[in-house]
Amino acid sequence: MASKHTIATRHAQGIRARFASRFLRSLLRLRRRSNRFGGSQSNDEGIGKRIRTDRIKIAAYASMARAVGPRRTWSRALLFKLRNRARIHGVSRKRCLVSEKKRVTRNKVVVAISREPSRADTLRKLVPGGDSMDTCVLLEETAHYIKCLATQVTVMQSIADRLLL
Amino acid sequence: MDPPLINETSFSAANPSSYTLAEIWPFPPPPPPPTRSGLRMDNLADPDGSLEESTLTDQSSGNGTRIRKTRDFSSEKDDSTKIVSTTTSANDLNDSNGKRRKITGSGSVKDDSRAETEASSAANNKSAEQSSKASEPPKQDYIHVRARRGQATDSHSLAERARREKISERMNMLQDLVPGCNKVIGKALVLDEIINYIQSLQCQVEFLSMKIEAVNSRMNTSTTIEGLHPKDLGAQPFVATGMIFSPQPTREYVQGSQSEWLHMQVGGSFERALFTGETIHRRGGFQVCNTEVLQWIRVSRTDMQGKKQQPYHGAEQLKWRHRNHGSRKISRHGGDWKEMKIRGEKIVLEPKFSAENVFCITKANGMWSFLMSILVKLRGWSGWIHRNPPSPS
Repeated sequence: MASKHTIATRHAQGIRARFASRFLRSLLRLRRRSNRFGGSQSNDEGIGKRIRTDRIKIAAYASMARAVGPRRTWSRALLFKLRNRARIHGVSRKRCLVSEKKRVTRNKVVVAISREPSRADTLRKLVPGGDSMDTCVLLEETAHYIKCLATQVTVMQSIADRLLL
Repeated sequence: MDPPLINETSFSAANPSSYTLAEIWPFPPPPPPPTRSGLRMDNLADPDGSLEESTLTDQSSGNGTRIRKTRDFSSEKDDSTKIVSTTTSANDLNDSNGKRRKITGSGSVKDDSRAETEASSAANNKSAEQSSKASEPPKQDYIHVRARRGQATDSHSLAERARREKISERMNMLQDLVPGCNKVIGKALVLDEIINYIQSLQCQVEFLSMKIEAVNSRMNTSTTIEGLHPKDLGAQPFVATGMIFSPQPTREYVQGSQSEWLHMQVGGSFERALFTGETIHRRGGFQVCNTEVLQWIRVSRTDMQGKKQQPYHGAEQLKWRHRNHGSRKISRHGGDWKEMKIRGEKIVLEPKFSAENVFCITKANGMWSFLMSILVKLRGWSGWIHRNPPSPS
């Protein structure tokens, strides 16, 4: 039992260290970029702030998913989503429209089958990649995701505290 | 498992160009059954259960048709192996997978016909069974499901029972992970707690990124981040110091001056809230997931002119009112209701504040998600979140 615990904590610490280094690196990158384009963004402060916040958040999630690696379904789904986000933004709206139609039809089918969304469906929406999991896998992925999120929060908290000091 | 089992592998096969192979598929291709024992040993060696699930799901997606063919047939379960399977919960999916592969017999299987099932099963599985019988029980790669007296013994109900057992094991695992979830009884409520916890963590990430952004943009020199070493951050204890709630007298919650409480406006005061956040941070905000308390909320009460007023005491109901939508109930748990108003751009929450009532709002299930969604939707504000409860002395 004790050995199990130590191995588990070591594992978590490894993830934490990896996440912290990745996140700090991406923060540095973000800062350099904002320094480079500092003049252009200063005219609209609120929007720029929101964009920067979103970038930091995305960086946090991406570095978490990379720190976990492709072993987990949720991290793979998150990486996939983050990777294709730029493509979806960049290409066009056509694709979005198509997917919207598809989604609509699928929703209709689901509604025809019956049943309002249960709690497991809510959980599916929260855990990345949860749409394609069955309940058992979903619960396991949720457990790991919760662990990683807690780690992420503590690391970000400590980074923020250090930065404020 | 549900029939529409779509995994990452299936959709990496759909567009293989978007992935490098090493990233998406770090494991050797699904091994044939005789070598599965080695995989199993690896899984046993890793107690964190981090590696095996993905491989297993991938395998099951790869051999989906076969599994679906064989999964309907029942299996048996000894009581001893049941205990074993509950103790090695991370291994459980593996076990069930093995079980599905193993059983090729048809129809309902009773305890007497167990030998027949083994005989009809594949040879490698049989050998695995024998070896596991000879040596340690945890090496078994399937679960025996034994129907108790009075339980249905047809294949579907046995499989369903095994599935339910797996789900309940995972629920127990999650209950250990989510703080304050142990005392909750009932699967739905536990799921609610889990959902709330995940949402709170995600909102916390959002808030922290906002904070980091503020600090990041305020400081022009890039020395500080480089000065931070991830080793230091990794070496920090799990509960960061900022999360620790410094105990304050309860009077402060009851009447406390509203100066730096969450006087929230959509447009302007976000900055102020963020930067006074350090003081607020240690005092108030949202209380997440300790034993009883889901959250506690302290928000200044403002009238229409923006004049501050005493916090609301006698609220019997938790409602939220919008100027346009009238009032409606949001949630109820255990008869504790609070009131929440949205007036124009100002969000005013009016919880009962007394020593015991600080905790009342916390019990309102679903309240958390509702509130957070409003706040986040309005302007990305996500509140102050704490680990530790305020001590109502």
